[in-house]
Amino acid sequence: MNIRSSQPALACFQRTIVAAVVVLLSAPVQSVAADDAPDFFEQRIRPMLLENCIECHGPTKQENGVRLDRREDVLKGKAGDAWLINLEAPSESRLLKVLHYDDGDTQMPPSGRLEDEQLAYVLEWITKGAVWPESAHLEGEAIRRAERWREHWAFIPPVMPDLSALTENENPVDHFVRARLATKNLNLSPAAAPRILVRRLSYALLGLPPELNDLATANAAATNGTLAAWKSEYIDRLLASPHFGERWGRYWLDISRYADTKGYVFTEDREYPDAWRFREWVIKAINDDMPYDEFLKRQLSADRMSGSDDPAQLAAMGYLTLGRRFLNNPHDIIDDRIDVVTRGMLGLTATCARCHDHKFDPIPTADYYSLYGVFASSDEPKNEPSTLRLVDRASPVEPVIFQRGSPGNRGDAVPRRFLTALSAPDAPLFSDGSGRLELANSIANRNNPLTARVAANRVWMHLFDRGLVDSPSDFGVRTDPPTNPELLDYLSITFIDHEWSIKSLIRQIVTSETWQQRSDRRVDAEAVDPENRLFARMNRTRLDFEAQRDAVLAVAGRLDPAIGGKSVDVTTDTGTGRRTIYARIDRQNFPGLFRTFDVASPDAHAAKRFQTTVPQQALFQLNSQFIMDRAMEISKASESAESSGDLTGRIQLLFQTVLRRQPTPTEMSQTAAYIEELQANQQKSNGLTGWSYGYGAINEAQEAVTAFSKFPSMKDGTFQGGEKLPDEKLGWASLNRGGGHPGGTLSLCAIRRWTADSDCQVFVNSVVIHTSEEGDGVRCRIVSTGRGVMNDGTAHNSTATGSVETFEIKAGEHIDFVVDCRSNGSHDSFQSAIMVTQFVGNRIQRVWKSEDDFRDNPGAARLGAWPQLAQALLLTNEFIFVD
Amino acid sequence: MNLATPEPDSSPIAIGRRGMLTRCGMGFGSMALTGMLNADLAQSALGAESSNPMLPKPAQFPSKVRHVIHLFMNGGPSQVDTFDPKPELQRRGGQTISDGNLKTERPTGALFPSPYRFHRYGQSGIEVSELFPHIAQHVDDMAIIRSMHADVPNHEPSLLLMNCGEARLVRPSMGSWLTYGLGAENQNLPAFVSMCPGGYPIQESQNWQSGFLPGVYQGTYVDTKHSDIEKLIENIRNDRITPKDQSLQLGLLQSLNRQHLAERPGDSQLESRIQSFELAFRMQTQATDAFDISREPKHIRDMYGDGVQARQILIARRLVERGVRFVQVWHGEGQPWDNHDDIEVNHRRLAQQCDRAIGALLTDLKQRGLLDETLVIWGGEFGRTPVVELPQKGANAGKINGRDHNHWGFTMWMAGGGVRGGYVHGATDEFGFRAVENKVHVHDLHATIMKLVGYDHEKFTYRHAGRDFRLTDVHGKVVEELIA
Repeated sequence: MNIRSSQPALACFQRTIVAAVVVLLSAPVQSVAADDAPDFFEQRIRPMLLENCIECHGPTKQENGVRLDRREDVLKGKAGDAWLINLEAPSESRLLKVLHYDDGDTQMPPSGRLEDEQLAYVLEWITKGAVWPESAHLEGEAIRRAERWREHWAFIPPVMPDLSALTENENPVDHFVRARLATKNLNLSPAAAPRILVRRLSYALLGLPPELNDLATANAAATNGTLAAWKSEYIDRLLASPHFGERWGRYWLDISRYADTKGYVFTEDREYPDAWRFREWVIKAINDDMPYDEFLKRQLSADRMSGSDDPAQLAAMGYLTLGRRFLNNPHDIIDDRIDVVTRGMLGLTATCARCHDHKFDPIPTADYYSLYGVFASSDEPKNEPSTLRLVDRASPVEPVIFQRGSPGNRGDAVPRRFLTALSAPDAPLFSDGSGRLELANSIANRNNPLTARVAANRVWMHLFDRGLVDSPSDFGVRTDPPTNPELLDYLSITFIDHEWSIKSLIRQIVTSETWQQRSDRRVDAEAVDPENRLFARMNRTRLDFEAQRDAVLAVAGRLDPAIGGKSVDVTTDTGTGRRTIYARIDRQNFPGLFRTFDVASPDAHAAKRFQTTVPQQALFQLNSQFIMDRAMEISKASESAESSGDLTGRIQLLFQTVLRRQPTPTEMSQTAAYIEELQANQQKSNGLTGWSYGYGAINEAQEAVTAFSKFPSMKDGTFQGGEKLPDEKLGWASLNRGGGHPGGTLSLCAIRRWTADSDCQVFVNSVVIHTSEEGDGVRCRIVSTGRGVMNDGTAHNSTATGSVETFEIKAGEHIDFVVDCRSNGSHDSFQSAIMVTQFVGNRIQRVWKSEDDFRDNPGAARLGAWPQLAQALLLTNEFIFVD
Repeated sequence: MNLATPEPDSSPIAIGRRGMLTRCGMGFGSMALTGMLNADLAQSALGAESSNPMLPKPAQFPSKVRHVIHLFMNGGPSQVDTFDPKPELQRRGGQTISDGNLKTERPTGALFPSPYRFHRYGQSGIEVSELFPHIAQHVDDMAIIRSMHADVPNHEPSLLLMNCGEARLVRPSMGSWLTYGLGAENQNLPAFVSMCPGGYPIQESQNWQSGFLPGVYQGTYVDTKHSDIEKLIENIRNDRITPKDQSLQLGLLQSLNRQHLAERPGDSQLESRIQSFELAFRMQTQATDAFDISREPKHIRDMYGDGVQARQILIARRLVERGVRFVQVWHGEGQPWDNHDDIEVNHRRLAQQCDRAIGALLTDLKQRGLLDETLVIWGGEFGRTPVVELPQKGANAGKINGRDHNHWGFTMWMAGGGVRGGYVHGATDEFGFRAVENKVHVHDLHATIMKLVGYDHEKFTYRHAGRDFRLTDVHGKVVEELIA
């Protein structure tokens, strides 16, 4: 509590009173107090002081000279010029004033005003003589409080739990999960069906849909009783697949805030041209099952380890160097590196200590600047084959504390060393160059209580969609213990004992009954464990963006199996078959598509991904070129299964391809009806909907367009009679995005045709502009099927506007916008714009605009009935969720 | 080509009209069908554990303000040429300041009087320069802050400070904070839209970043140079499947999904995704409508005028009318107001581009009863010096007729949304260089905006990396005088 007098000076008169009070208090006051006064202090005052004040005004710190843990200091006040407690006028006590939080005065405690009730207790306490039992020095307790973090579970080294009760062949994972479930009278769910398990394994380990062959052999194994052996073989095969590193490597890229660019650096080149080499290194290290301690060490200090002359190994240090560059501010760059190391590898939030001691965790500002010194002593060499590496400076930086985080405000010097809370009291300071290698050894160390736990928890989180600890990159003192502490300890120790093998850890978990149980709802468990934190069932998970996109590529037969390589912009190159981990990540302008699908922000270390469901995701699924192109490919591959008059074969194949199963009878009949309806609609509209471009004539008597023919040729954005204009047969007759030209006779009118795709209402607006004084201009008419000429105008060096009020139109009927040459066939070039507003009921379906909608090849990209079905299957929850 | 469009009121599809239906993000037809889905009931329809982070939420305390329009004059407009008249500057043009000039980005010289005349407007009689005759008509609804100040005279950090409350580190923008706090009023449109014609301002999309908040709270960038909806919002239209076919496709999809759900009861994430397709389907028509100003009656379009500023400012009104929370309107790509030289010509040109439309916006919001619930903010990332910028090699080609950046003092104004109208707050020194009276730092402006929208800036926090972050970091004091 920071208490200072708001009065500039105190009168002698007041000093006298202070003295009097002190004298009065020295002994007899307590005797006048009520007998319950000591209890009142113990119950109401002491906890309040400990909770709110002692941290800054206690034995370790006395901010502003105020100390509140000992009676004599409280009574004495600060340096004799003010009193904290005024027994004569208790409500005038300085202590109460600052607690009152008045404007323009000191407000304590800084974390927020105390409750009114607490203030009343303080007043009561002072009024009754500020009784403070002689014995109640809070000093010892305050120190114990300051050291309380030592009791925090995460700072206590993991202990191998008792395994004596393990039954034969029981996976210890199941043993610990069952033990927790038993406390709530729950048990595990039954094992998932083989096909569900195969799919779950394939996505969990590779991020790809299961092979049809594996689904079939799993079923066969289940039938002949060899499923256990089959599963074991399958898991080994998946762990050995090079695609494993692509799935699990991406998780590490979230942790290491991977991007291909630096962010905003004025007009400098923003590219990290070698960023992909770091990704390459990560994938390979994970595929090789590099021991996790070595995996961490290399990312911090590959320059000091074996292979330090190999650019491929040095690329590991991209972990440090690929961050945002913050306008090239060196302090911020170092801050980002401290963050990615402490949150990413230790699960500690150290960057709070840049400006002040960590509020909750045992990370003083001095520790932050100790690490700062390590990174400030590491340079990025220029003109090197690998641009990702760091090297130690010849003479390391001796860091000082920047007070309040401001480099201009230099405080005490600090040594380069590891975090004090994680070091033995006599641990040596860093002395080897920058200290980066020593830092790496301190982190990747079996005696570090955090490193293995943080890693094991993350593996669990990726496999179950939820960690045993909910904040995977913050294991600080405010973090609740794991939902199953013995389990996390067991996994951490086993992990270390198995040479830090990530693959062994994964194998141990996915072979457990816990992981292999069903994900179906457990009504009995919901009452006591609504969030399924004890794992009475498997969690149903939604594929992340990478797995969604990769799965679409896979079922479309388009997945490029090549491992590694440079980045590809998957947002613009919609045809690429590269897996999503190879997507180029531009940190400065992170594509909207990635944000929409909760891809980890590359701005800083990402502890875990958000999981949102927003309509923009559905828009991508419904309307993106990527999805529709894949749907067309899937459909095309199923063509052979169609036999005339029977839809079932092709429907079966599409279900098989996309969902990897046969349709149910209900699904079959619904899907067949759907295809039939689409095909009937398409027949009704002759396969023509929207705009088409042709020529023809108007039968004046019947007010109808006769002999409409599409232009046979498209050249440089213009539909016309042939390669050249004028064409031998059709003359100048032509149409383009913004206008056209009629042919030289009334049988060669230029006709822009709009065909309704459904029964609906429309209204129409059009403009035709003719800009030549020569000739006699053009005549423009709007003609609709069955209604004749609805609008008739002429433009000759003028503008003709036409509009038609709302009318009903049936699927397949046309509205023709007919322009003819009148009696003179020259100087007839015209501009035009047409808007057809289409609605059903009173909801707009679409506004068709002749200019915006113009396509060189109308209809070619359109999806027919079968591609639309393929797309619908890609969009199902079944495709996106894993049971 | 601009087509004559029937006025919305006369067409059978009066979607342009404001009211419950559009505010709830519903088409007319579907309202009856899925009445549950209006904003207030969305929560129950989607299930309590819904993963849709955009559901509308109340602010911390009641406020009328539901929308914000931030008109960003990027580059830094000059206060002494717009809203901060300085007679002493006019009198002493050509003289040097005896104490020397404050340090700004580049070398500066003598006092450089404003080439524009100021006039008094409204009942309040507040003076505004001839650059903004249309905006000036609204001074009685505006609170003009003449004592703004920021930290440094450089664009990059100042832009981030103004948008995110922090000059360099990655922090969420104001629009992201508000969207995170309030959710979306209209589920069929993005909740936070940032419009800039021709490309990005400098610092690019960092200006509307979501930082450590979920990515969905990031501003949706719209290049208003285009008038084609497909280029404005990603994947909003599909010309490869007809709407009719798409609705059939959606029917099949949802039927398959419902069968899937029936075997997996009680899973709200499955239900949420089913709902998201319904929302997306409606979004296609709603968003198309919202960005299409050709659906405005002619007299409204005439009121805003011609050009891209008129278009995007009119779109801004259409967006807030449809429940978009935060609309940022940037003047243009790069830093258009950054007139280091030829300021007289350039400021006049820039003001002419937007004055009429901004005036029309205020008129229009007011006549629709939207001004009370829409906070309009105008300003740049900083102001400009009252002294002339001296020529520098490679910078301003030897001209001595512009002004340098000035973070020491500048002007911003706010209107509508609970702001005290006809009020001038604070003052700069006699020349308009440094804020001296009732100074308002950018953090203070943020604190005040938060309060207007219904948040205590000190208590509106988000836990990230072990710390509770807020827009104002550890700063900011609400300027109560600005609040009506």
